[in-house]
Amino acid sequence: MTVTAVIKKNTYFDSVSLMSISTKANQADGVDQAFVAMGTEMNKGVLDNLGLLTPELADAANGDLMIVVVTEEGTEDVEEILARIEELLVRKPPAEGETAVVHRTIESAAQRNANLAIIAVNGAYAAREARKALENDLHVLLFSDNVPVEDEIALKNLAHDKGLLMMGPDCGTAIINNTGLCFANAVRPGSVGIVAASGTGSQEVSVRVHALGGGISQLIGTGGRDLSAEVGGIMMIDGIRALAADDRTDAIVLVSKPPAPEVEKKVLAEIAGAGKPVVVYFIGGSEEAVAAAGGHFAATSQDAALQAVWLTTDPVAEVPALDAAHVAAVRAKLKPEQQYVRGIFCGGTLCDESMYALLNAGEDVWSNIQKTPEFVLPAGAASRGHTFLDFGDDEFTNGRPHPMIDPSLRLERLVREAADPTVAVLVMDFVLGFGSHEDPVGVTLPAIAEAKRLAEKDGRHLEIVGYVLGTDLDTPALAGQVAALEAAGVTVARSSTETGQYVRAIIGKEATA
Amino acid sequence: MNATAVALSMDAVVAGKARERVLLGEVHSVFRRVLNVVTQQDQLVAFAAATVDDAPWTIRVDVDGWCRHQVEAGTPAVVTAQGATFGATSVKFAKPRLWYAKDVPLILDRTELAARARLLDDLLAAHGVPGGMQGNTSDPFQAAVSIRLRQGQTALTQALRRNDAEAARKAAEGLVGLGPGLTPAGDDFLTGLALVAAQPGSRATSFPRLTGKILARTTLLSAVTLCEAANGRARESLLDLLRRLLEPGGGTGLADAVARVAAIGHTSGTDLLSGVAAGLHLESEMRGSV
Repeated sequence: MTVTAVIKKNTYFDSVSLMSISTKANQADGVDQAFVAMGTEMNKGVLDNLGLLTPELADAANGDLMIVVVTEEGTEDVEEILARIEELLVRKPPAEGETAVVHRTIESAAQRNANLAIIAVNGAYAAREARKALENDLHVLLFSDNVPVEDEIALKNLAHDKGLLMMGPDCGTAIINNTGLCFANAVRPGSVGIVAASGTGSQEVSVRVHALGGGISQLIGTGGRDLSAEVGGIMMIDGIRALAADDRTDAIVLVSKPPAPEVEKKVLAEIAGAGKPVVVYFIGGSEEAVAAAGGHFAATSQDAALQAVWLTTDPVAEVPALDAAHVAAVRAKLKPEQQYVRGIFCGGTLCDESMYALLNAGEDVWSNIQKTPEFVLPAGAASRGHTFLDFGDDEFTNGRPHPMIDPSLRLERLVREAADPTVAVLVMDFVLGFGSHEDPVGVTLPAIAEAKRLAEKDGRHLEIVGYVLGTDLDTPALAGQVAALEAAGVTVARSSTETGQYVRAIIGKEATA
Repeated sequence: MNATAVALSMDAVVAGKARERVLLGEVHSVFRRVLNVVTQQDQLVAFAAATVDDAPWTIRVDVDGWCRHQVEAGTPAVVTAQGATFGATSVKFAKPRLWYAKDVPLILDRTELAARARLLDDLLAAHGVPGGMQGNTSDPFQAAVSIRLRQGQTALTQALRRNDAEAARKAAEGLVGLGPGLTPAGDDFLTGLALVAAQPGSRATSFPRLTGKILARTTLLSAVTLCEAANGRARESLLDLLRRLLEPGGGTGLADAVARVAAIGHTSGTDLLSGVAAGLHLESEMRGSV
C-alpha cells in the first residue's frame, strides 16, 4: 500500500462537491481508497489511526484541503492518478453562451470574416504582425509600444493607401461600432465621434459625453506619437476623414496632448473639409488657432464633452459648479504647513489635466511627465513641492503591468506621501471599464485607510481626492466605486476637469467662498 | 461578468457593523449559492443567493447563484452601509429587510419535550442521509469518523446531564473539526445542540463556552457558525424548525421543516438535526432530574 497526499492550501468546497470529488476519486483507475477532507486536527487524528498520516498531511491547517490517495504497492502511475484527481478540483462547467475561436495566425483569422486585428506582442515583432494584418485587409489596433518610428510611419502610410485604420502603435483605447477595444468604457451609442492620441483623455471625453446624456459613434485611437513632427498626424487626419464619412457621427472631438506645431496646423486644416462641427481639445492648445480653422476650442476635457453634447444631443446641457462651501470647509481644516498636492495617477491625460490646473494658477509642479526640464522628477525620486506622477508612464511600467491593471506601486506611494506633514491633498484617479482592474477602488481602500490613519495620528486632516473615470454601465459600476470611496472619507470629483479645479481651489491663493 | 445585484434581506448585525465602519476584506470562498467575504477583523460575511434562507452574518441577494459572476477567492471586497463590491460585482443595499434571529423559549414540560424529541428522531430517520452522525457508510475514513462522532456525542451528553463542565469541554473539543466537510459533522452536531442550549429556559447550563481555543480547531466558516449558534443565532430554516418543534399544542408543518434542514449540504442538515434532537432529549431528561 502506498499513501500519497496532496495539500491544497486554503481551498474550500461545499460538502456536496467534496463528496462528489471523493466518490469520483475512489472510482479512478488504480485507486484503492481516496479521502478528501479539511485538514483539522480531528481529521488528521483519524488518518493517523488509519495509518495514513504522512508528514505533509500532519502539517495541513484547518483551511487546507487534504487529498489522500491509497494505491497498491508498486503502482507506477501515481502522479497521473493525482493529476486526474486534481483535475476534478478545478473542472468547471463552461459558462453558457461563451464561445471563442483561437487562430494561430493573422491569415487564418482574416479568413473568418474578421476586419480588425488587435495586436499586442513584443514591440520587436509588432510591426511585422501589423503589416501582415494590413496586407490581409484588416484594420489594426496596435497595442504594443517600443515600435520604431520609421515602422510606424510605414505602417500608417500603408494603411492610408489601403483605406484602413492603423490605430497605434501604443494605442490602448478604441470604440468601434459600439465595441470597446482594450481599455474603454461602456458608453451609450450616439453621434459623437472621437479621434484621440491620448488613451485616458479619450476615455474621459467619452464618459463625460455619456454622463451628459450623449453617446459615442466611434472612438478612434491614433497612438501617442501620431501628432509628432515625424509621424505628422497621419492617423488623426485619416480618423477625421473616416468620421466625416460616417453617417452615425454628427460631431467630431479631437483629443491630444500638445501636438507638434506644424502637425497641429495640418490637422486643423482638415476641420474645414469635415463638413461637421469639430471640437478640438489639445491640452495647452491655442484657442485662436482652433477658432481660425473653424473649430470649437475646448480648454478642458469636460468642456470638450459639453460642447459635443451641445452640438449633437442637448443644447442646454450643463455641468454642476464646484462646491465652494466644501472647499472652504476643507481649507479650514488644513494646518499652515500643509501646502502641497501629491497626485498619483494611472491615467496620463488625467494627470496632465490636474497638473495644468495648478500650472495655470502659477504654481511650480514637479512631475515625471513635465515638459519643463527643470521640473522633471524621475520615477524613483522622492516628491518635492507639488508633485504629479503618471504611474502609467514608461518609467513606471517598464517590466510590470500598467497601474490600471496592477495598482501595487501606486498604493505604496499613497501611504508614503501621506506620511509627509507638508502634504495637504492627495489626488488619485480610478479607471473603470474593459481591460482595467476589476475593482480599482476596493484594492486601494486599505491603503487609503492607512494614509488617513497616519495623518490622524499626527493630528492632520489629509484631504484625499478621488476621481473615478467610468459610467453606470461599466464593470464594476461607477456608483458602487464612488460610494466606497465616500465611505472611506474620500472627496470624489465628478470629472477630470473638476479634479483639477478642486485641487487648485484647495491649494490656491484665490478666495473660494 | 459585470453585475449589480440588490440585497433582499440581511442580518441586522451585519447592517449595524457596516453602519459603524467600512468593512474591508477579500473574498474567502465562492460556492454555487454562497460567496463568503472575510473582513480584516476575521468576520465572515456571506452573500447568499435568493433561494438560501436568512442566517447570521448573511446577506441574501437577488441572484440565483455566483457561478456566472467569475469572482475568485482573494478578490478585494468592501462592505459599506450602502452596498458591497467584490471584483466586478456590486451588491446594493437599498433598504433590504433586516433579519433578526428570534429566541425560541423552552417552555414545554418534560413529557412534552420528550415527545417532541422522539418525533424529531422519527423524522430524522425518514429524512436523514447516511454518513456523519448517522454512520452507515462503507468509506473507511467516514466510518472511522462516525465512530468518533458517536463516542463524542455520548461523552458530551453524559457530561451535560451530570453538569460536568470540564468533561463537557473535553468532549466538545473532541467533536470540533471532526468530519471531512467544510462544516465538519462534529461541528454541525454541536451547532444543533448549542442552539438548543442557548435558548431561554435551557437547563444545559454546563454547555461549554466555545472559546477561541476550541474554535481554532476547525474551519473559519464552521467556527463562525458554531459561535453564533452558542448565542442562539442560526440559519432561519433551523430556527423555524425549532419554533415548530417547541410550539405548545404540537408542531405544524414539521415534516417540511425537517426536510428543509436535512437538505443543507451533504450530511450537514442531518448532523444539525441530530444535534437538535440530542439537545431536546437532554432538556427533557434534565427536567426530570430537578
